[in-house]
Amino acid sequence: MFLNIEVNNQIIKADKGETILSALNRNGMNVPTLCFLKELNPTGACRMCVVEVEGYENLITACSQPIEGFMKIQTHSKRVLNARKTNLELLLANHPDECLYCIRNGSCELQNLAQSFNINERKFKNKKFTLKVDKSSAAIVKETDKCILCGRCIRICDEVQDVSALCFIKKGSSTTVGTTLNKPLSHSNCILCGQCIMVCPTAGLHEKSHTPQVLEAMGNPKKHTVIFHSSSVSVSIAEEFGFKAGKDVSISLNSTLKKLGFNKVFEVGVASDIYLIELAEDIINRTQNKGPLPLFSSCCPAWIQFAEQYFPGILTSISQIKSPQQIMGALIKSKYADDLNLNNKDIFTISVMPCIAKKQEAIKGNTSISSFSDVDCVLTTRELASLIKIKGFKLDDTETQLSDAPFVNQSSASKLLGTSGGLTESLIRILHHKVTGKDINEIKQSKLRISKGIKEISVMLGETTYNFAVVNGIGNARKLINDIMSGKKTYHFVEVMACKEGCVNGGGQPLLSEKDALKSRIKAIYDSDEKESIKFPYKNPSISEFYQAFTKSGNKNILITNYKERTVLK
Amino acid sequence: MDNLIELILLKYPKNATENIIEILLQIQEAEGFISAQSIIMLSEHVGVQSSKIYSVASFYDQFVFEARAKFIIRVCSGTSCYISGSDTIISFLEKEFNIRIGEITRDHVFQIETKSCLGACAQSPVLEINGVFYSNLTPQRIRQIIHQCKSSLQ
Repeated sequence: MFLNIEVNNQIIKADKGETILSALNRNGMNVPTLCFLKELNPTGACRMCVVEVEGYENLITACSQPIEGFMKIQTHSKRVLNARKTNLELLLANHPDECLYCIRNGSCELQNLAQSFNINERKFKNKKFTLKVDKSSAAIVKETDKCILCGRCIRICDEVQDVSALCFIKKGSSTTVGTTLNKPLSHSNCILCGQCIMVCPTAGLHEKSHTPQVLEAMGNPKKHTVIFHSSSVSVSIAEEFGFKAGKDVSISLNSTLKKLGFNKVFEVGVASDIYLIELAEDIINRTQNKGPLPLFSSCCPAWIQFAEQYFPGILTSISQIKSPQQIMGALIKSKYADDLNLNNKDIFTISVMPCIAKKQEAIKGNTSISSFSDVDCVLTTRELASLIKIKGFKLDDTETQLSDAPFVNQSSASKLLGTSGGLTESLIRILHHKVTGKDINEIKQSKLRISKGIKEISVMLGETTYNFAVVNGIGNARKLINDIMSGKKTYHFVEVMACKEGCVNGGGQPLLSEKDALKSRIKAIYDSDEKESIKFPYKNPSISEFYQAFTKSGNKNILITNYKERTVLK
Repeated sequence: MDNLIELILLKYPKNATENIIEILLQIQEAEGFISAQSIIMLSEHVGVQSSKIYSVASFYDQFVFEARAKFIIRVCSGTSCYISGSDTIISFLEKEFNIRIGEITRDHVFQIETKSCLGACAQSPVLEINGVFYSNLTPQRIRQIIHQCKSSLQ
């Protein structure tokens, strides 16, 4: 039911029961927020969104106050502005003046607010800082001093991911955000999805940077540096250079990276094609040999970490095929190294991913070739953008270049892996070919292209009906697995992605992105599927050579990984 | 220890979050502190993630998460005791055990803490060891008390 409210002497329409903030935003009016997260429970912790409501003695937090009847609201009165400014100054009292040396310099919500409130002096003397930095985790760094206790990380970890690795510890002025028993992150039940980084307004949580190692390797003439990037990076990195969201720059990125001085630039798509083909074979094998079914996807490292911690019983149901990143690294350090007569010790592989859990996967990943890791370093989208800037370049969208040989081509199906549902959609294309011998007519699976936490599709292939489930957001995954374990649901294949909407929304993607950036990135991926000529992984000419090599050597060991149970405080 | 916790948990229905604090109190009484293992067991019993249990428990100063000493020496640091020299008492103890306030000796026998007021101002300075009060303290007397504690162990 709509009702009228008065805001700044102007009448606007509001839905009964919605919050003041939601009504304001819908009508194009803005109030500053720090702790607010759309679709999550409002807490009113930061008190930046306070407004003056006639009839109320105190200022009201717009994010948590529902509209029940007519209201007369002032969003920018003198009293409100004063309250917000003092509030901000108090937050800054507990925040170090380290902006120049901070990873979030320029992309910090607290800094932006301080700037917009014209704060140019320290009003309150700062407290003593603890200088506590938790670097124990393979991918996430936690800086206690920079935390403003907004609680966003805690809420997203609990309400969306249902992992609850983080919590408030103690009370009052000694409150901090930490893990159970305040253990280092590496000992906690954190699955490294990085969603906490995406919502952190400051640098309280950020990724562990691999940029120094990459720069080191690039400056070492003995190292043969090979970089490869994923489709979710090429549809988002342009945002870091001021382009509108949804610009696919995969081929321009190739040329920019070449200019930066990498010896070879590839796209991970070739490895994704191999991954998809192997996965399809795994499904068919398991269907014919009676299980164990369902088969779970293995490309999301945060999902693997989650399963190893919470569902050790289903580890045998997760495909043992390495993720595309690890396959790519393994191919480069074996076949590619042999072809170029390079010692794999001298090859330095850099993967560019929209994900921070991939940093952990690279370390933990089973190495295929003696003691060398498949992937030496993992850069996030953000880190690559900063590396390009460090090297004095910008993303030039006019120049284009294909991936270097021998990984020139990739199917457009491989690019779909960046979205939730894309993996399954590509798999259906391959399964159709494997079962019927023909290309599928309807390549688009519109049931899988909608934005939903759990999606299901059944496809008749030959004489068997294959049931697929697609789940994104680890909280949804937990629900689905419980349903599968209790026998309520049965599938042939389950695609799991730890982040909502899939990798396009990964923990390594651009921060503070524009509204609807996610939708634009997804659209860019589907558009390229429409445009490109190779739509089926099995038609990718770049992979046939590798398959010949596999058949010749008779082993696909370099494509296989394994999982083990991980005991943590959960 | 696990059995002890199990016995406590058995008294409470599963998935009933309203009992968390009561159970924590009982665990602390039985174990002397809240261990990681007990947090895990409690979290499974009431169906709440361990981080939330820890969040609640760490809110209250009463709960401790590390094994405590056999003798917890609480020195009164209230105004009256302070004037009568509680700080010299504290530094004497710190020197004696070679630990600081809040810390615990390596053999887990002694631990020093301060309390805001023990309510015995007339006999200041005072301290309390495991519920027993000692008043009108001097370094000599403290040495005696420590000796008593040590010999009671044998």
